[in-house]
Amino acid sequence: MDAARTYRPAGALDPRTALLPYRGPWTEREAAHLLRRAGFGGSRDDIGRLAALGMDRAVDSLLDLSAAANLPAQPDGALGWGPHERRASYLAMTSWWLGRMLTSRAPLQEKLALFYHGHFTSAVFQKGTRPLEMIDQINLYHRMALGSLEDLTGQLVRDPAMMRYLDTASSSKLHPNENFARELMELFTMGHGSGYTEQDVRESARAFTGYALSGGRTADRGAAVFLPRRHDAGPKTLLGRTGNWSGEEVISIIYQQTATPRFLAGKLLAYFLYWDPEPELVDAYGRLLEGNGWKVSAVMGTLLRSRLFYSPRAYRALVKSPVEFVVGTLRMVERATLPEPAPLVAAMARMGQMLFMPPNVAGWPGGAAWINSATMLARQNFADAVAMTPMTSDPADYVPGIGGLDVRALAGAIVELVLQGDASPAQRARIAAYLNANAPDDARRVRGAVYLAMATPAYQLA
Amino acid sequence: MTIARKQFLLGTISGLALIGGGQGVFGRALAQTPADAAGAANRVLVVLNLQGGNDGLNTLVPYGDPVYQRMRPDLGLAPHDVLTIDATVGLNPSMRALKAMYDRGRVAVIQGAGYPNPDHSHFRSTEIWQTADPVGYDATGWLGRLLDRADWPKNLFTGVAVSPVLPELFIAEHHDVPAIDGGARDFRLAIDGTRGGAQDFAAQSDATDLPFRSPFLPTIAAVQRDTQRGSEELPKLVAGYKTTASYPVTGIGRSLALAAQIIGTPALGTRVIYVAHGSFDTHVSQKATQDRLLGQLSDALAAFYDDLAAHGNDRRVLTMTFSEFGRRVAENASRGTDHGEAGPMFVIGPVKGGLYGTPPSLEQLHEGNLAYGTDFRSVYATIIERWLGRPASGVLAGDWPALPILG
Repeated sequence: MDAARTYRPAGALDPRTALLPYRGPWTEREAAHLLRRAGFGGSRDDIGRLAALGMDRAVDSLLDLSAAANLPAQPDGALGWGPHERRASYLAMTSWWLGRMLTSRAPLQEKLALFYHGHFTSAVFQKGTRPLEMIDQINLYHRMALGSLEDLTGQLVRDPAMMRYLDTASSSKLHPNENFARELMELFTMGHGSGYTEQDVRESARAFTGYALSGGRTADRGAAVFLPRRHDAGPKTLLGRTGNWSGEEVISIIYQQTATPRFLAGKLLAYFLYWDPEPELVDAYGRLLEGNGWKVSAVMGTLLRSRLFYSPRAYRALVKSPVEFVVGTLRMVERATLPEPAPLVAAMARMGQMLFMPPNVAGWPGGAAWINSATMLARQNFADAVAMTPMTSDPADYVPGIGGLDVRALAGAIVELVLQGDASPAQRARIAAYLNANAPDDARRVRGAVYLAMATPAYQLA
Repeated sequence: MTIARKQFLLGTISGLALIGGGQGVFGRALAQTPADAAGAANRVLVVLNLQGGNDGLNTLVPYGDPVYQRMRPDLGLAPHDVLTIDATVGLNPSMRALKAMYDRGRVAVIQGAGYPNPDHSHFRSTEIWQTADPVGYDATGWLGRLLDRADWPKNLFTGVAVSPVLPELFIAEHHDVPAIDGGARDFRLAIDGTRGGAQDFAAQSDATDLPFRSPFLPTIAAVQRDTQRGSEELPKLVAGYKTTASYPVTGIGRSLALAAQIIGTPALGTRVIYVAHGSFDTHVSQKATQDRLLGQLSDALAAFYDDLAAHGNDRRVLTMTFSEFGRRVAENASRGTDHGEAGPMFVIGPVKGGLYGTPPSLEQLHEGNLAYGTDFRSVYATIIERWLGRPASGVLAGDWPALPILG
């Protein structure tokens, strides 16, 4: 076996100062970093706007989800789930969500919904999950994006997609199904090996009985109902406490365990800050989360304003997921609407991420797992399609000042747009040389140079 | 459960980047003597996924069982149509070419293959067959773990997926497997055709002198270089392979033609190949769809082995099929069948031909489905140990009895 490779950033963490407010320079570079993490990156204008606000107001603007007004609440048209309707439904669903990510003025809401989608997983068409049930679940994540994680977890008990995916819809006092109870502890709150037992799983499963879906086989969406007859109201002992616990009470007990803040803080940090965060940082962030009543708004605000967040250790320290790669690229070239969904979905499948269909209940593993030669080929070819084909608007629309610039300045503008300056002298020189080698009146010249900037390893990093 | 973090391509960097000069970047596979167990030298495994859940009952047909005819009033195949193997079972009539191979002793059929507590979800059951882990959520696939552990020379093309998407069975901790869709020409980076484009593109993967540090930078730069070189070299290397075999003009025909081409290009050093065919998810009007797909499969496999034989490769290539599940015994109201459980696996090539495993009972069903009699991990273990000459421990959890399918 090769030595295990770590993707934790090099250098030492100072846990005492890590989460204190950042007071360093605020330029387009920091603004772009913020926008890649709290959103999907953006155009020169998007970045310039955040840069002009200063850090505090820039973070405030991202935390203000009222800016998300006027986004479509669900896809257009009927969303069937029969064998011959699935493909069309899937394309409509994906267009809907990618379209929101592309156009929302509150991108953090979409970014958090994507985080929850990979954490509190469910999957469309599996176990009969209807498209609209899956859309409803994503909208629950939209609605509660910055709210309390404990409240959000509680809502999942009555979420139809979750009830189907993890079998509470068919669990009853006589035949309790352990699927939800197990994944609730193992993947959603406490983490594997964090101290709960098989007995705790079995006892919790009894508490989550009694829920069912009404609406029958033909309804677009089932409605959660509670049937006292099917609920096991007897005494249960779990995590050291005995009582006639209901499902809600089980969740409340789980949120009193020391493992829970640690596990959730670790997941948030690995998604928004850097991979494999240090245990002392995770502990501190977990205390903050718990101390703020599990409110994501509070801990996101602290993180996005922190010294650590703007330190070199966190900079470009995450791999863009396929969704971030695709949406970020389209935002950068100022696409106002989503391109044709079928090729986009095919490209994203090759990159290893299909929305509404996480690979399993553990979600997408992320990090280095996004990158292999098959997914890299798909990423590069998508970048090529965006840069080189008329799929996108003319570079004149998104490369600033394209007309009056000499080759060196034009290469610099492209490196700024695509990489926020994160290129080596050799990479810059190659882009300039490429521009020089091709005639100024060749329409493909600037497109090719944009592609050369996207072909750098830095472009894969958030 | 353990979700191991996947780590990629720590080995292929040296396999590619260190080789220079006129030898070609894959020359190393040839230059090294493979450390194979006796007889396992240069053997290749082709894993063929019948995606969507193939109806085993209408593939290996128990035509002699009255329960079969009763449960399948519309879909049941008449005894005189079936390609008879013995007095109880036969092959689907569209599989004439495969039946001819069976008659020549080149096909072993494992009846009733499956695993405990079967899952009826395509996604989950596919994942179980590909990770060989019905209980946990192993982040690596069984062939990925084999690549990590087998002492084959490190090479980008040791494993190849003939597929648009990398299948889960190839997810490894220390290996990167390319996914090639359709033909070698499709494994390509779209590179701008203007002057200087290609060279400049390749050079951009350079990750030195950057104004930032990132723990992911070395991995990404290395994968990018390999992808770039691989996409340049593969079409050139396989171009030397000529075939006269007449493959059917179908997806599976093209895929197996590419597999033969890869196998016949020793510089690639390929040992495991994944190919997919489908979709067998026949909830509605099953007969036409399944007959067509099984016919395509049978014809393509025959052409594949003709092609391999013409190049002297047929004795070193074993093909194994799997499908995430069989289908419900009783047909549904739409002349189709719903998700079931156990089904047959075909192992083709230099095998001891015949039927293996207990034929599943049509009367003692498990929730309306065929109960499995042979755990698929026994088939995997047999192939890993007796065909590829590698230990199955570390690839498969637990000990699995070998099947006597190999000569």
